Amino acid sequence: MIKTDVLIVGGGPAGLGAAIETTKAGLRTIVVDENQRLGGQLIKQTHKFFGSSSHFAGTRGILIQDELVKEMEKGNLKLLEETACSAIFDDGIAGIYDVKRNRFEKVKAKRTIIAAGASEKFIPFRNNDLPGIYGAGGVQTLMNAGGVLPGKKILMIGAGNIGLIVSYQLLQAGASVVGIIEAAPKQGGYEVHLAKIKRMGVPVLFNHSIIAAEGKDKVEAAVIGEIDKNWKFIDGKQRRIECDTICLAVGLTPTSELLWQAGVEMMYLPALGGYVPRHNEYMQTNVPGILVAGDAAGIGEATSAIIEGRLAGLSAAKGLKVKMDFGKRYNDLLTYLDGLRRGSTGFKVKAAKNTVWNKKEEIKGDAFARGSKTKRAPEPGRKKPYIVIECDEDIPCNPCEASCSFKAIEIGQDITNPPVFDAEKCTGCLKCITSCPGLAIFGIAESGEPGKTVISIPYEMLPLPEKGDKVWACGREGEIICEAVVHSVRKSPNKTHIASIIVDGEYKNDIRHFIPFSAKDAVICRCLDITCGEIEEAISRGYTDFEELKRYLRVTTGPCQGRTCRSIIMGMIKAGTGIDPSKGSTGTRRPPEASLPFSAFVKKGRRSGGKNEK
Amino acid sequence: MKNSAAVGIIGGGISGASAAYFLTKLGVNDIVIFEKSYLSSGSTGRCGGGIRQQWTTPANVKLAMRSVHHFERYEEELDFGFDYVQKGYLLLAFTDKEKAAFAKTVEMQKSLGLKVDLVTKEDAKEIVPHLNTSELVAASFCPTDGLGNPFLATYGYIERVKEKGGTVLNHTRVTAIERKGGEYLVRTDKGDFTCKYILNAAGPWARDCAEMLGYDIPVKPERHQILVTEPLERMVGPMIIDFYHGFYGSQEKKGGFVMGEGDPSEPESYKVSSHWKFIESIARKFTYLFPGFRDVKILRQWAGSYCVSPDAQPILGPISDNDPNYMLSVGYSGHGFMLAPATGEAVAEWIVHGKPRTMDISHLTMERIRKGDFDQEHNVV
Ligand SMILES: Cc1cc2nc3c(=O)[nH]c(=O)nc-3n(C[C@H](O)[C@H](O)[C@H](O)COP(=O)(O)OP(=O)(O)OC[C@H]3O[C@@H](n4cnc5c(N)ncnc54)[C@H](O)[C@@H]3O)c2cc1C
Ligand SMILES: Cc1cc2nc3c(=O)[nH]c(=O)nc-3n(C[C@H](O)[C@H](O)[C@H](O)COP(=O)(O)OP(=O)(O)OC[C@H]3O[C@@H](n4cnc5c(N)ncnc54)[C@H](O)[C@@H]3O)c2cc1C
Ligand code: SF4
Repeated sequence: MIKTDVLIVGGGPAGLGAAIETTKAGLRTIVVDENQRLGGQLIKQTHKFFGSSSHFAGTRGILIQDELVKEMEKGNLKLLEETACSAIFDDGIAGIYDVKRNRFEKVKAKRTIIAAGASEKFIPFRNNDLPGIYGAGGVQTLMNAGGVLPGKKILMIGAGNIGLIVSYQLLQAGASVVGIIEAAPKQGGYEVHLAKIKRMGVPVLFNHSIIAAEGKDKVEAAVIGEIDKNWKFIDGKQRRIECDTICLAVGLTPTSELLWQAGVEMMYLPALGGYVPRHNEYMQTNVPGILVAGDAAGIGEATSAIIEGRLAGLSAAKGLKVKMDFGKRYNDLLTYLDGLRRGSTGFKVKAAKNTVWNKKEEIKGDAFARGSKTKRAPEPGRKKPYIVIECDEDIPCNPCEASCSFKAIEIGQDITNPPVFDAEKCTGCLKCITSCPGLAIFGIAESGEPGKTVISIPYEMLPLPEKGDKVWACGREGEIICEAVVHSVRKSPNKTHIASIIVDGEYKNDIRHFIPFSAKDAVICRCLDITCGEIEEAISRGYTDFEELKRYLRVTTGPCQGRTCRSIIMGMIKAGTGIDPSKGSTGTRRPPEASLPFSAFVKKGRRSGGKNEK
Repeated sequence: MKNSAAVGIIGGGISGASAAYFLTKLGVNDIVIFEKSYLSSGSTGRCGGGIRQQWTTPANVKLAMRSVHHFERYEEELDFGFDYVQKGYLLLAFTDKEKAAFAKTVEMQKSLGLKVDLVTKEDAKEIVPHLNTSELVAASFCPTDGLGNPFLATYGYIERVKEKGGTVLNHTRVTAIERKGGEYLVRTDKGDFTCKYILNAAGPWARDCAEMLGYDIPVKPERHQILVTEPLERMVGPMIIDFYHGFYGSQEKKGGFVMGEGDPSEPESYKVSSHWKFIESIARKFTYLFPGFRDVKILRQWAGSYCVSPDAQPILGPISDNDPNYMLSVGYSGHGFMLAPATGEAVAEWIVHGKPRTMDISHLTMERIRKGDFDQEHNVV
């Protein structure tokens, strides 16, 4: 058993930030990272970072880690690369696995900081287990760290920042990106990242999704299709695109296996990527001795990961009674972090983090809704509808202002100004929704039924849904949030129609889209080949607890232990039963974090088992 | 909401589910099952799935044989698959003393009609070619032993019970029981129920549910750990038991090896957390028994509770003469899945006919506990 003051799991920005503080505080520190090189996501980032110039902005990601390592007090540090933390047992002892030596070792640390970063989300489609299908992160690793191209002709799924950046990097590396498809009508990433790609002639198809991968032993093509407003593939609008690689960039979620194992309380917060550990602003969790930092504590960006790491390191030092002026150090870091969490995206993270810290419910009220400014907010309990404008960018555009006969939306002379909304002038006619070319205006109204809200969503796809249709309501990332019923459909001559759905009021700030009950033959649990239809059928037969579903269908029991499918299944349970996934059972996480062989536990040269052992 | 039932069953594990099913077969459909969490959340959902008839007490052998009779008909009768396979159990003897004990037991088992044999180390190697038999002395083998999936077996019983009108209340915890004019008032966190009969099938929590009426029954919860590997091609048919080192393991229908051990130092507790000692010790045992599988990967370890009785035999029937309608189906000591069809049938008959008809269960009641007249079962891991 190895004994140490601090064990840090993950050598990305957060883990390295933590190690700077703990080593400087004189604590014996072990950092384990399962990769061959430290740096986490940073080593994949050859692009220049956005952010504040005092903290590495404009520096390429791959250089930042060297800077971090320089700052550490090496005498107190043990860096273990290619070593994964595979368990946190019930007595707090961690199990680490040295991949090269095939050796399992126990670590007894006074403090454990989990900075394990994020994992990629996956989406179901036919043949999604063919070789040649990668997550964007995997592709980045191959390319930027390993110097290998995954293929020659790449189809990218997802036009968020990661999809856009990775596409660009693929182009830089000499691959051809045959297209980027995005289910939403608009890219999720920065406009400038999109522009970079488009300039290089890559076709970007919005309102498109992937139906299937094709190929004998590996990907030879992808079948994609245009989707209608119900997220249904439109007949006759499907096509085959030749490619040898399909790259998925559909979002990140905190790597949480070890946190669940250790008994940390987890909360479901879509704004932070899914399940996140409950922690305070000093990065302590509810389990004594366990701290968190970085993407593992909620998806963010690299600079704030470093700062969170440093906070966690400080808290470890404070807990271990190191003498120093903690008040000032904490204060500096917290102020700095606050500065990073400005702007519309940062604000969302901050709002969500506040929820984590205070354990209050997710921030309510529209002040935290994305984007544009509000002059006068709707008064509480307002009966008539009002709108939310989620327009983040300085786009030269003002039809919303022009559409409103009551002057409730103001843009002014400079049409790149963001719209300013005045709720007091708004009559709730919802005309503006149909006017916005970015489909960024949504209507919100009390339904008359207690606790229920009607959300009005701009819709441009045919056929239109009908009143009474059941749908799954989705969030901004297309994640399923709950079941909903279509309340009304209002047609507009300009073809941007308004579809309104009834949802639980608590989700009114999250729901911005809806889809019909989904494709039956899509594989959800890829390890065991279990389809969406089978899961829906089981839910409808009464297997509505995650644990029952798991035992009935064996979903999540394959080699990936639910990493990719658990959250989709939780969403389906929620959609089918209306029960919030964080309220039912969410599945126990158990060691090992990733599978490892028996031989790792058996000392070499020593005869194992047998009669002499007893 | 329903607030009364002829029979209130505490526990949605295999014991409660099986009893409910056999009750409906005898025409009693007015049943409520109280389950504090989800169905199979107790021992049943953590079980190794072994179905063995090679026991050292005649009572356990007979219950297991009767259960196998039911398991063999289960899929057809219930129209519900539970991954049942009959590839036998191979029990290993590493000393002459063990071999002698096996020989005696096999004799007794044969006299009860079980098809079982004491086999040589060469035979054992033939039955399980991957097994390290270098230090083996002998083994006993019963080809009709096997494996099944306990959760599916539970869900199958429950589906049929629900069809007949039985009620299952998940996430409903029984908090107190009171006597009320010849019936019982069952208090739960979701409301009160009046029941003529109560069946305590609460597994590891059985003692707490007996205490609700003021009884102290001699069962205790004990953690047992278990793990599963990545799925491989099917190479090992039978379940292997090694009492000498304290090991059991099998390759389930889907290809993963499932294995566990007995840890004599495990204290009484309700905990089901995972400990590193288990994974280290079982790795030594498994790689000794199956050297060729050294590099097979462990997927997941977990744990569950045994409900342990003084003689490792179940405790069935009325809790006392004063409360003849409060029934027990408890104390399974790590083999409650494989006995469940027979014990469910027995308990159902007790409720409907006043005593079991198919089998004689008289030596498995509270009576033996009170008298201290135990027939100790030895073949436990
Ligand atoms: C394509 C892309 C572009 C980005 N662009 C920017 C940008 O421009 N600006 C910006 O600020 N941010 C950017 N980010 C985000 C930034 O990279 C992350 O927020 C940051 O790296 C998070 O740091 P971390 O230390 O929390 O996690 P990571 O960097 O993910 O590090 C976690 C480390 O822990 C290791 N690990 C996980 N589990 C275990 C285990 N059980 N045992 C051992 N090791 C383990 C992982 O292998 C990894 O090395 C980008 C991210 C991506 C994917
Ligand atoms: C690791 C392990 C391996 C095993 N391997 C085997 C094997 O190979 N073969 C075999 O036959 N057996 C095996 N067993 C034993 C077997 O799992 C049990 O004997 C069997 O499942 C017992 O079933 P049960 O229905 O009696 O109890 P349980 O399955 O524990 O059911 C009791 C239920 O009662 C509920 N409950 C308790 N108190 C209350 C209350 N107050 N209100 C409402 N509900 C309550 C619980 O939530 C629980 O779901 C194993 C056990 C373990 C732990
Ligand atoms: S809802 Fe009608 S009144 Fe309100 S801002 Fe939009 S157009 Fe103006």
